[in-house]
Amino acid sequence: MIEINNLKFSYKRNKMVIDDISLNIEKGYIHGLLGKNGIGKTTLLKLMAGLLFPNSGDIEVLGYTPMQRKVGFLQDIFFLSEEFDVYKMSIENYVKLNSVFYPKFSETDFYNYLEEFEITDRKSKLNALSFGTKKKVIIAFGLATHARLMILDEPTNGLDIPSKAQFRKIILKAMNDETTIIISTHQVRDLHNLIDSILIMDERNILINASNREITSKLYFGVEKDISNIDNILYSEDNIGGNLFVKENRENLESNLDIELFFNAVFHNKEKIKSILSNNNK
Amino acid sequence: MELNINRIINLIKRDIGIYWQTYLKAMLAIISVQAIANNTDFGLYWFIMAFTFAFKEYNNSTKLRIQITNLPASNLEKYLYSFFIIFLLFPLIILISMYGGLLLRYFLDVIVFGLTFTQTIDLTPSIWSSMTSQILIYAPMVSIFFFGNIYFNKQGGLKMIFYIIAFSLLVFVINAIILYFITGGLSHSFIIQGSSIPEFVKYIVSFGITGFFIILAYLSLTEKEV
Repeated sequence: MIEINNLKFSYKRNKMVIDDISLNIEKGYIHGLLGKNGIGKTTLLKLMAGLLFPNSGDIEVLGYTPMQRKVGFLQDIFFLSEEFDVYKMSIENYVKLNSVFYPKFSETDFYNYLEEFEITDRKSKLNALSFGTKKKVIIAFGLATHARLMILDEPTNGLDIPSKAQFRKIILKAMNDETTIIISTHQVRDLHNLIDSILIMDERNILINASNREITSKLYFGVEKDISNIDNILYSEDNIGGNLFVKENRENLESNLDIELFFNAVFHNKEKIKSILSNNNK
Repeated sequence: MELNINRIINLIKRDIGIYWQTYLKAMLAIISVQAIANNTDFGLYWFIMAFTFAFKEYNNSTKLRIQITNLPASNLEKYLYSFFIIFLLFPLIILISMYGGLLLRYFLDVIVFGLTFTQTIDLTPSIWSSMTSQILIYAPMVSIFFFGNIYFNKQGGLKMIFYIIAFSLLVFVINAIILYFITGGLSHSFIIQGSSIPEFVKYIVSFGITGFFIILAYLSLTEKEV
């Protein structure tokens, strides 16, 4: 689906934003791209979407070279940027004028997604809507294009709490074996129960690229009042219910992935967690 | 190169769908000014103002640039659509509005003031009377704006005006310096007078510059990053 080899990119000379990234992203999954602010997540997504051109290295997305911006490629990806402008027009007109460019666009699906987001007035002017509502319209449009690759940069920014839940529900509904979604965010709790795999970006590079299953098979996420007797703890933090902790899963225990805890653990104990996850024996 | 006429038509429809109110307001403004001024001397300014709108979504905020860049149409289709808008639609809108303004003035004069047609309106406006020489000036100018608006991310039109002025000043200064050192004074001009240039040379220079910037604009579009 996406193959990146030795990718390098800089906005200015001598200041690499992406430094020698190699990455393989499989189709049919929801991938969460996590990282601190300003680490290069948006830059990486823009490179995948053909909005920026690499200094060196190769990117292949859906069998295309993004920077060539072939029509077939553009019809099969949808890029939602963190911030966007909308035109002075109704939702209805927006769909009429833009959907013709996407051969797989389904108007029925679009209006169904809008209903799920509780947006019922098709004649509402886009520019008069709140930021969150505008975002919901654009997300609904993107999903209705049935693009094989959806790149969503901070999609939950600006959404209220009920809308975040609606967003998760709609994304799961829109998923199928041919669709791949990459969601970039620094609000990791918003991706709870949504993503299948996690990519964590550190300074200029990918620190972790692992599926949820891989992570929970090698790491155990737990909560205990007293953690002093627990071995192999990699990271812990105080919580109202006790101490949340991550430890190496040598006993093959089952646990649910806590994305935020995992994220913090990775930045607290980078090399150790990286080495545990890259160990294929388990 | 991917080229599909339907997609170009869809891009034009989308443009008109988005900006029809802006175009309508511009038409009304031109009609009003023309009706009040009652001549076509403003023609050049309308054209310059219109040309600064070339590639308007690229020459705008990053957010809009992302939208147009991601729209499923090839670079060539997006280029041809912009070409159509700037070289055909805008001139048509301007000319219709200019004559609309003159006709409005004519009706006002005849109906309100009872004047005769010949007293109030010049039906051979300067923009038409010397069509060839106008094209020789307009075509390179439009192509320079066309290129500037895709090359720069913001205020491409204004930046190009600035560069044209700066370039003209540079030529003038260099000319003056050369003149000073050769003749010891500034009483003669080294600038070749327009009337002394053979007609075919003017055509070659004009269309050469136009072609150069039009091709450069396409190359800039294909290399445009967001």
